[in-house]
Amino acid sequence: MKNHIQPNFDKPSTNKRKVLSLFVFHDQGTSFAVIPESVMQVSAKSKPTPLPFSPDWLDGVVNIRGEILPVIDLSKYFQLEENAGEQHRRQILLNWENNHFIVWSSHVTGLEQVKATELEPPMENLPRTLAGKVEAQFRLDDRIVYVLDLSLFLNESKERVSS
Amino acid sequence: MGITRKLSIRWKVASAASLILALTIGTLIVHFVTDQQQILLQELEKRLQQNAETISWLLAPMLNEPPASSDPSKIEEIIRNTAKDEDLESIRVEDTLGNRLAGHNDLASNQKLQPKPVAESPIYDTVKDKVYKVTSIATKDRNNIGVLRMSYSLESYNQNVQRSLSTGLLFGLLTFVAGSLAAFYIGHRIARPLARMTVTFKRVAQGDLNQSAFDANSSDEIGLLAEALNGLLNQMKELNRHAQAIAAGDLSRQISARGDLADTFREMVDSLIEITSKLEELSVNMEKQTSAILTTAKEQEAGAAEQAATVSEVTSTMEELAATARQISNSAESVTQSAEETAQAVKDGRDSLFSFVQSMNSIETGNKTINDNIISLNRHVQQIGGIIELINDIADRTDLLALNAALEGTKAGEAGKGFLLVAAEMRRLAENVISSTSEIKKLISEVTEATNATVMATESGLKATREGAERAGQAERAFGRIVDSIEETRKASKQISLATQQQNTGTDQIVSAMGEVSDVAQQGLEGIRQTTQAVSDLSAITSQLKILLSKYKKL
Repeated sequence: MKNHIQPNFDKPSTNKRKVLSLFVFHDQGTSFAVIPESVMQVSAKSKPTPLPFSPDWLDGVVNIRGEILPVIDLSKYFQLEENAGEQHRRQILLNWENNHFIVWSSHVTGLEQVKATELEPPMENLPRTLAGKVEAQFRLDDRIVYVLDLSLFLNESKERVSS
Repeated sequence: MGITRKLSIRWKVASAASLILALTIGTLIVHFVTDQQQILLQELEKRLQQNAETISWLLAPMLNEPPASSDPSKIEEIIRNTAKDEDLESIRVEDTLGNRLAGHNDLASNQKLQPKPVAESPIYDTVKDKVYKVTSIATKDRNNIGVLRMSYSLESYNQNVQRSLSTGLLFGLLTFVAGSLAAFYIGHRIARPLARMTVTFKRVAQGDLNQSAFDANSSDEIGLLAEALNGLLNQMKELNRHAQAIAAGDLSRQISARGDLADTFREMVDSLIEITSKLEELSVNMEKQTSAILTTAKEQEAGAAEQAATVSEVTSTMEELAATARQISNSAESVTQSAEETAQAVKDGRDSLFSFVQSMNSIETGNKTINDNIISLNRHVQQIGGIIELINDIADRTDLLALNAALEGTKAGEAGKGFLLVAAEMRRLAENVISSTSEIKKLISEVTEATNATVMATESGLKATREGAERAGQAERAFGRIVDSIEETRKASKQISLATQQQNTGTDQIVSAMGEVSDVAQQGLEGIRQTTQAVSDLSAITSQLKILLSKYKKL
């Protein structure tokens, strides 16, 4: 897990000056962050091809440069409340441990420099669907940004697909 | 004539006899006097002729001698001896040349003895009470040798005539008095019984039939008249008794008298019996009829009273109608005036509407231009929107490029830091562009909406303007028709005004006539009341007549 952010909440004094770079995006009113190394490409949303007998959070597949990639709707996956005013305008191509997949985003904030001290452990009263998939959280402009643990997310999604 | 009617018979007989006697006596006196005059005149003329012939015969020889031998004294002697007639006043002898030869008392009356035509002139002159005689003195062989002129006095002649007249008048007067007395006596003898009969019949005429019979001893006309009058008097007395019995209601008595009057009396009694019988029947019927008439008259009286009241109400109604007609007339005049004012106002309105239609057409043209301009503007705005969309798309792509560049810079580590800063700046610019294009899009959208709304409003306004112009045209045409209608209305209202004025006059006349009708109805009501009263009186009279007729005793 070389690419994990590896926050050390037990030793804040040693990591006090460390600044982390996180890729922040929003979907249906909820802000997410991933490490920039996992983001391969951000592009405009393309129309996916639906797959039969797939879960509702899997919108289909998209062909990008000859590679067929699954598209995951995070708001449906995490059963977030849909914000009618927002539309998916961007598709973010992620790569985690050579697993390429796409997630929708209504707005991409981009790269944000976050101090290690600003990172907090996930709240205990997180929604059940988010619990276990959030590695840390921090505040950005009065909004809480959840730092996704892509390993757990990818494993659980695979399990849910296979089940 | 009036005086003679008032005279009694005795005076009439005496007057007639006296008049006849006077005329007869007068005629006889005139004839007597005239005859006496003729006789005396013939005697005078005869005497005059004899004297003239005698003197001429005596003088002829003397005048036939030569003038120297003739002696005027001889001639005068002859004249004096011959002219012994006491009536001879003068005598004069002349030669054929008119020279006086001799004369007797002729100097004083020289003028009277002037020659004058003899021939057929009267031989006497009553005015001058003288007679002139001119005779030619001729020889035996009828040669005139002189002229004898004589004048005679008519005094003795006149005295004889006067004496004859006095004698005739005296005799006539005596005869007249004797005849008049005889005539008065005869008239008195005739008139005396007639006067008595007159008195008797005057009393009979006055209703007194208790007169004694006339004395009819004589067998002359008076006696016969007295006998006839006695018969008449007796017959009248008998008929009077019958009349008294009839007056007492007894129609059963038999009339024994004869003659036309008795027959007429009998017929009268028979007629009375028939009349009373019929009168009884009629009185019964009349009583019924008068009762019915009385009932009808009372009903008529009630009807007439109701009619009079109705006529009075009709009169009041007609007066109200007349007042209403006057109001209508005034209203019609007001309507006429209003119609004229309305016609003028509508004409003004039509002119204004014409101007309004022209203005609407101008507005429509202007709106059309505005609409075209706005559509053109909207098209340009849409084109700007397309450009903005393109810019936005470019900015979005730039943003993505910058974002991906930033990611690549981050992945490059320290080497990519500068690249990262450039990418961040690009991204910020792209986001600014997107934000600006978003605002521009928003503005374009608002402009588009506004222009669409303006176009719609303009089209709506254009449509409304067209409709307004069309409606205005319709209104103008309607105004034209209204003008015509109002003109007709004005004429009609004028005619109505005239008609209502005539109606006003007519209703006034009707009111006047109804007043007269009301008076007549009142008079009719009064007449019917009088009729009712008269019928009531007639009913009472009929009852009295019935009672009266019941008293008559019949066969």
